[in-house]
Amino acid sequence: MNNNDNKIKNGDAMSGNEPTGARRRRTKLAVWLGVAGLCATGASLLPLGGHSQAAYGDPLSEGMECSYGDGAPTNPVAVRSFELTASEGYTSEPDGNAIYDWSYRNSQRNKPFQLPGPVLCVYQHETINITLKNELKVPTSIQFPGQANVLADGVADGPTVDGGELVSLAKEAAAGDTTTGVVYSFEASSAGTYLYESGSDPQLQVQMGLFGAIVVRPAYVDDAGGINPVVPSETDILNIPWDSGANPTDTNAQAGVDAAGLVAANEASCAYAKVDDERSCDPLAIYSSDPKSENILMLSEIDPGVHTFMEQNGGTPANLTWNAYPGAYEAHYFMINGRSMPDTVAPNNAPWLPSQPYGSLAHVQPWTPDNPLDVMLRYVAVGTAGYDFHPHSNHEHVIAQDGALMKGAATVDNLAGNDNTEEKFNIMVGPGSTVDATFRWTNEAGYKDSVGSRVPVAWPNGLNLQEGDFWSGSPYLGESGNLNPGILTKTQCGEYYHVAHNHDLTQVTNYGITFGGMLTLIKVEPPAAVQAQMKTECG
Amino acid sequence: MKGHTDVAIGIEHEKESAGLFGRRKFLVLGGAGFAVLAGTAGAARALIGGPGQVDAPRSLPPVGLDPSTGRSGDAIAAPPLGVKHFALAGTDGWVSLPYAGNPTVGPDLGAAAIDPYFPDPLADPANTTTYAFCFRNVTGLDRAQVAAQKGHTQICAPIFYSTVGEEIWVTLTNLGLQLRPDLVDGHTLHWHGFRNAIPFYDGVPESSIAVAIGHDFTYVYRPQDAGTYMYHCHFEDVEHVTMGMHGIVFVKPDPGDRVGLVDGQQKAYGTADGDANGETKYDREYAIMLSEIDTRAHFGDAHIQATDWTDFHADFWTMNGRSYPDTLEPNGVRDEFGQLRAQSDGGFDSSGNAILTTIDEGADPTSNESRLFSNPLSSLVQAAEGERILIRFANLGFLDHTIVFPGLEVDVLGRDSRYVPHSAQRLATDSIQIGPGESRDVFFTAPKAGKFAFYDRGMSHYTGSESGNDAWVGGQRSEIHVYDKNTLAPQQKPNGWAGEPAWAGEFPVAD
Repeated sequence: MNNNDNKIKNGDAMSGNEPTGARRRRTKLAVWLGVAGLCATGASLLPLGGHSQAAYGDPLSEGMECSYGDGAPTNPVAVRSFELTASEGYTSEPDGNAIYDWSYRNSQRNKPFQLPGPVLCVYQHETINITLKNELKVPTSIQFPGQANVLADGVADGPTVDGGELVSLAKEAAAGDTTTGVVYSFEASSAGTYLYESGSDPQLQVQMGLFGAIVVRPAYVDDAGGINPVVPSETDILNIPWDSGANPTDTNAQAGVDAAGLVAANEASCAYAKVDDERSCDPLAIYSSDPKSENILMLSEIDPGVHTFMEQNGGTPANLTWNAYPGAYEAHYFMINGRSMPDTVAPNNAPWLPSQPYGSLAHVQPWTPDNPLDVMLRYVAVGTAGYDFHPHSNHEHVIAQDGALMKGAATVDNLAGNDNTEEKFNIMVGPGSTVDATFRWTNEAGYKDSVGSRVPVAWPNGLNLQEGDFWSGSPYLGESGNLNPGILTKTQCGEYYHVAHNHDLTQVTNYGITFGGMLTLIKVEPPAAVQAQMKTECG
Repeated sequence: MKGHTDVAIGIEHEKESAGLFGRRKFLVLGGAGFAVLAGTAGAARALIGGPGQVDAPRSLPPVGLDPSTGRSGDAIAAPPLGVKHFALAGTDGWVSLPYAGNPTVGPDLGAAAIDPYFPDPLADPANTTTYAFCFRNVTGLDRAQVAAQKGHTQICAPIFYSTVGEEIWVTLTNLGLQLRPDLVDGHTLHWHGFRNAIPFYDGVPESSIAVAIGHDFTYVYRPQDAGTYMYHCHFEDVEHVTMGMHGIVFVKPDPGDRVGLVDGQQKAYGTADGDANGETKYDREYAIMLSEIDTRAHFGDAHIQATDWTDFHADFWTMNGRSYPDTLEPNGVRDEFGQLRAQSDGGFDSSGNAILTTIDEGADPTSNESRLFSNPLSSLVQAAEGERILIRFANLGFLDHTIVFPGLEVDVLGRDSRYVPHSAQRLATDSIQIGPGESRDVFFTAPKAGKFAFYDRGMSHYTGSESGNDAWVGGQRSEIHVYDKNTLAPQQKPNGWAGEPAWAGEFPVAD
């Protein structure tokens, strides 16, 4: 499995083979290239850093793209190893600006510069080894907030001090150390979403892009010492609340969900075990196993002044006075997974974003008894301030913070245990924090294009309205309508697009220009049964 | 609109006010009563039409609508509590922040000038300081009256509310910007937090439609979940929101659910929302929107200068579109949804200005009431000892705010329109943190008579008065005035609109 870091396993659309799904992805590529027209990144014109800026080379995909290191993606192993190399490169902003950055490239797979660093997906109780090498002109390191008992080269890691002066928060790889590096290791003791980031001059190095995410999937150690993944059972799935709003006690069981079928088809994944039963999944932490149903949103910001200063100083921070470098710190670009809108909605590994491999377009199909599993969203706030992230179209159910399920164990006084999960229309992700939330969308109003189900007001004459690029021309899911001359819709099958964005609206801009920055889209697709009857694919 | 027959179907009607209000502003409509208004439904037509249209009702029922209900014949059925119809218009104008140089404010209560941004040199020096654009409530106005509102904005947007089981229609008219005819901006209505929304009614112009200048469009909502939400324009959102286009909307639970209530009380969340015993009951409710103003950006919009929004630096912090000490002033000369009171009595002059004298006989034209004509929403909270008070907070600024209540113990029983019960993890507090785009439902029991301040803990968020005598000027600060038991008339409308005519001292002030 050494060279197979991808969740997508059914062929490579660009390989020339034609496995199942290849044609489908090619369609999608064409569509996304249409979207890319907006992006106009001019990536091929970017000045090159010290490394090849060739396309990342992995197939296009959507949803969270994991790196599994040298271990299997599908089952736990005793030891899982990664190698990252701190390196420099360029990323592009939608307004055409090229930004000089530092980040972690996946040198284990001999991959070029990317920002952010790879998403390291591991199983609980595995021993994780991460080798850090360094191509930068300054020493660097990695700290692992939320991980306990981290070793560096076999010794307990921690701040390094030289003559009473703090050098770094973790053991460093020396500038230019591309051979030995430092090996960090720890047991992934708790499931959840975590940040990893530079522990050296972090104010500068994290701003420059030295960060990434670790996702720990729940697992338990059996009596024989083997590590086993936590898989949702039929009972767990039946206990998922299906509308905790108007019907707080109702569950999938009452909605008539075929949980046995879902288990048999391996369609459900688990983010957290129950707080008092490490072998079974908490119903609130169950989500669809469709790769497109799991998303990560690493929220960060860039002050281009800092990056330009570093570029002009040859990659060293000499003479950088942080609070007056010149002019005080002020961020102007705001990213999800290192990209700003509209690049956020491009697929993973889009070739026109060669060093920003991760997209954040979310997919959801309406909740029905036939489609009862939620979407998982993993938020990581990397910047020095928190971000308030607002998903349109429905609340998200916040289930975990900083890698901890927000539930208490049963007590004598409280047999159900405390449940501090909550549905929010605004997700507060504190600086350096992570939040896990599930999302669903239900066609609650039941609007359809049929007599007795239409919207109650008369259909306006479209010529009198202004129409958007992500508008299908119809209020009804799965329907498309006539659009005004000049509108080139990016919809394919009458799907809905809803925005999801930071609600500090100054940060939903690209250097002040709206509909950019920390914004992505939620794509609400017609139900599978409707899609099956369509001539157009929904992507 | 005039003379329409209002047919109730199972819902309490707003009472026709005997005194100041000759016209119903708040329409609860069903059945035949809907017919006259129905014409505005869904039609995106030219607002300023051809000959003969000016004096007609706002519009005639478009083809395809049932003239007896205003509803398209193939539409989804009306919900059990029927249809309520509001109308909003987007337009620009001038608003007031506390400026030391204004004679009704003075250097002890007003902020110093920020040259050249504040006060804006184009503002009316007697009353206003700052350019803005926002929604105005034009419910019930005819087409000519709506058109006459161009250039008469307010901040922040009107508060409106609904009940689970109703269908809400909001017709949005884009009047354009009087000062900026060069801008062809659309407007939209985004109900922030509305569950299971469809893009058609979500108001994001990129993924839906926007209302062009001179046109109108009717948004429809069928709320299922009680709670405190907010609404704002999503067109070039950062600019339109900060220029003023944001307000509070809230949803009350099923009115038939009286579990845990005594006469005169309401509750914020019903059994269906998880509040099975009436923990969220209250005697009075207030809604307060938190935001900020960067006077450079407002100046820029007035003077045709672009703003780099990532360089946003607020210099005034607002509650309901006002900065302290204006937050304490009574509600303005508009109704509970921000509509001019005058329109029911005096109508408008040839320029579209409300004729104020008919309702404000003897009012000093240089009074705060006149100065705050376009900042009509008070943040003063009034209570009688022992009463349960609800304050609905929403934040549509760009910054986190922490509101503290020294001397009071408050329960946060609602977050983002969801009921959160008091529990071992959620104890009473005296401060609430609220981020951009969030809402909180804050409850407290009024202690014995006295005055209590509540304010943003960010102490740098106050510019201070020009003279230095009042450090709170320019910020998010207001007060809770508690009166002796049984000395305050029951609240009839949120924020004291229409139900408590005696803001200015009819009741004994504790100190």
